[in-house]
Amino acid sequence: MKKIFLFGLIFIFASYLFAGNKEHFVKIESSLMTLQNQVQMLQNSVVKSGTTSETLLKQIIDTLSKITITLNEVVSSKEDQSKNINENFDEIAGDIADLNHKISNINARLSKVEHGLAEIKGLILSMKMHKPTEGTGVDGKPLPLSPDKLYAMAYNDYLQGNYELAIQGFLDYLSKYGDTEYADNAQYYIGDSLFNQKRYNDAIEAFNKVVTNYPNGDKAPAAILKSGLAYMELSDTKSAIEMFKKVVKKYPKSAEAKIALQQLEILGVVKK
Amino acid sequence: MRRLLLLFVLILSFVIAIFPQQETFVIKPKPDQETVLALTGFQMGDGNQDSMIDVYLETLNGVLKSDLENSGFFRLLSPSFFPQKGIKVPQQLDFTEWRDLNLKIDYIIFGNSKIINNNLIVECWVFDIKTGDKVLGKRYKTMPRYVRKVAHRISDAIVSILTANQSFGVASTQIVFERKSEVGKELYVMDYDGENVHKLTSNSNINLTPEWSPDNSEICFTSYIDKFPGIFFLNVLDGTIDKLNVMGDFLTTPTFSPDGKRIAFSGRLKGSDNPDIYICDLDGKNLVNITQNSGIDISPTFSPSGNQICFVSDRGGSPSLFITDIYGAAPEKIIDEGGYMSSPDWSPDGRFIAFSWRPRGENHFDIYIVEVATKRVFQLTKGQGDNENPSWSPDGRLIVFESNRDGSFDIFRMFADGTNVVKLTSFGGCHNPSWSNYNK
Repeated sequence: MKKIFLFGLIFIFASYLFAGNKEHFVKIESSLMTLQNQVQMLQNSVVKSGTTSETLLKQIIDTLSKITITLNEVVSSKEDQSKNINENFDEIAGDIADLNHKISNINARLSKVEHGLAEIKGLILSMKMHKPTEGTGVDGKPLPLSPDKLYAMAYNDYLQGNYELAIQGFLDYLSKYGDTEYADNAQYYIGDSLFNQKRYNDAIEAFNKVVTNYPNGDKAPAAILKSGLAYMELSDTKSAIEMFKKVVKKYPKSAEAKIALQQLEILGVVKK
Repeated sequence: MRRLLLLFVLILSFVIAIFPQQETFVIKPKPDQETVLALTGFQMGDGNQDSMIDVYLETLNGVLKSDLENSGFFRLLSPSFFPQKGIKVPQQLDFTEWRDLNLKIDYIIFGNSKIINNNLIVECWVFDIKTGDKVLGKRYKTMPRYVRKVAHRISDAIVSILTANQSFGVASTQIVFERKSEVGKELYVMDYDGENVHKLTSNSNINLTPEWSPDNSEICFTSYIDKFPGIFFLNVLDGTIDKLNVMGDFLTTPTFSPDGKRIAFSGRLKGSDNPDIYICDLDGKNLVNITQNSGIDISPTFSPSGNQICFVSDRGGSPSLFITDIYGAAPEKIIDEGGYMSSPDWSPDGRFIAFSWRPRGENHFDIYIVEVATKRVFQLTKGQGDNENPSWSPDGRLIVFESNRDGSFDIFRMFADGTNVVKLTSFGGCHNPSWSNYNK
């Protein structure tokens, strides 16, 4: 229902679009691309596994609200622009034509997205009507995406620098597959996504979970090293040194121990 | 039992039939999703003052056609279907004639060009056939010798607007590469279509492994100017060369970080006996070694976020691809299979890494891409000599590489799914192409 409401909003704002500027369009376009990808993924997951992912749906709603916000900005900037409209008639005429074209492009893509969502809705409905099959739980609720797929999607977001999506994806993975081989990796990448977002306190907390929950996992030395680097960013040199020493002591043969030693040398704690 | 076997064979063939389809990675849109363009060709504009205009018109039309076709986004309708020819200005365009055709034409491109006071003036329009809307209207004024540049600009503008900025068009981009000289190797640059080749270095030395800065203003490369391999920066505008201020007797394969503020390279510095991957600021400060181990580590490439690095290491035996973060934490081997892997290049969207690989038991190097998150590997070249040193176009749709399929090594270009291979140079002795970023 919320989705339909958002679509309504978008179409209302779309009619104001001709007053928008390029920046807004780039934003809208990139959000649309994300949206299309997310809907595609959702469709694939529904078609292939007969299930749906809460995270994905949440992400789609997030993206939609981002578009709505940008469209709002476009509307408010319309008034400012109308003041300057006496300049450069030709250019403006050209620009408006360009913008109109872009609007129709966006409209076309939005209707594709809408179509996709309607299909998904239909699929979900038809799944609910059918009896539980092997892929569904006892209460008829669909089982989530396959662990590999969910992990790969989150990792892809991490590689692309979409850290918010990556964190959500890995949290989703951990809540469902917290005892699998890649669980420690997922926890580590949550920490590293937070680190890359410069949320160093949260990162330290997440890295700590790697060490306490998966002490024998292969990401433990990296988690300790990165907490040390996070403490450095927070100017807490004492805690940082503690972490670097811990890596060297606990995992002396790891690649991270050598990096930690390099850090201790830079800090003057150990001599070269 | 036999039935079971039959069933097994059936399932297997089904799996084989299904999987290649999933595994292929295709760049060009399906026929029913193609955007169809009618490129009617530029006409001589009113008031032209120079008969040379015919030559420029031919160039404009040829280059624009080739650029649009090579973008991989469009299908160009054959001119024999055109109901109207010689459209110079929008007033001459008759939509009803174009709509009456029982052809799926999405957009029409037309325009005119003339020479006035030794300036080349080009006007170009794109109209949506169905709605009648003007999609693009541009006017260029420049010196006639930049005629190819104008065509490239027009192509990029069309690609940007018709793909809603999925790509900004690569027709104005350039490719830098190393070419054998009598005494060593010099760096050369050319347009993405192999035209307009010119020399960038003339130091009669060995100059290798060029890579562009994110704003295309500089090229970092390896050179033997000091008798041993060191890292240098070439200012593309004025040709000046600066040395990276890091001490070591073996520094090579430099690459800029995506924000252009740092550089990663392979180096054997004082006190170490084997090359490691280092990252430092452009002035050599804040130098860190991110791969402290006993193997040879070489050829770093940044992920587009700038937080990961992929490089080649022989720590596990044969040279293979590894990923680590920019601090050296969590190093991981990507592909477990053996053989010889080299020269990785991270795709602009972060999803793939292109590399060259001679799998165990094979005699030749070929271009492959690996999807990092799933570790699925796709082979792009096959059975055509050695194919090495891939580099992505800034929109991630094309790959440039070197191949000796015709004898000596030359530079080639293809779609990132391995189709539409085009030979760009025919000098021989050309290596290590690197694709520039967008030229805006």
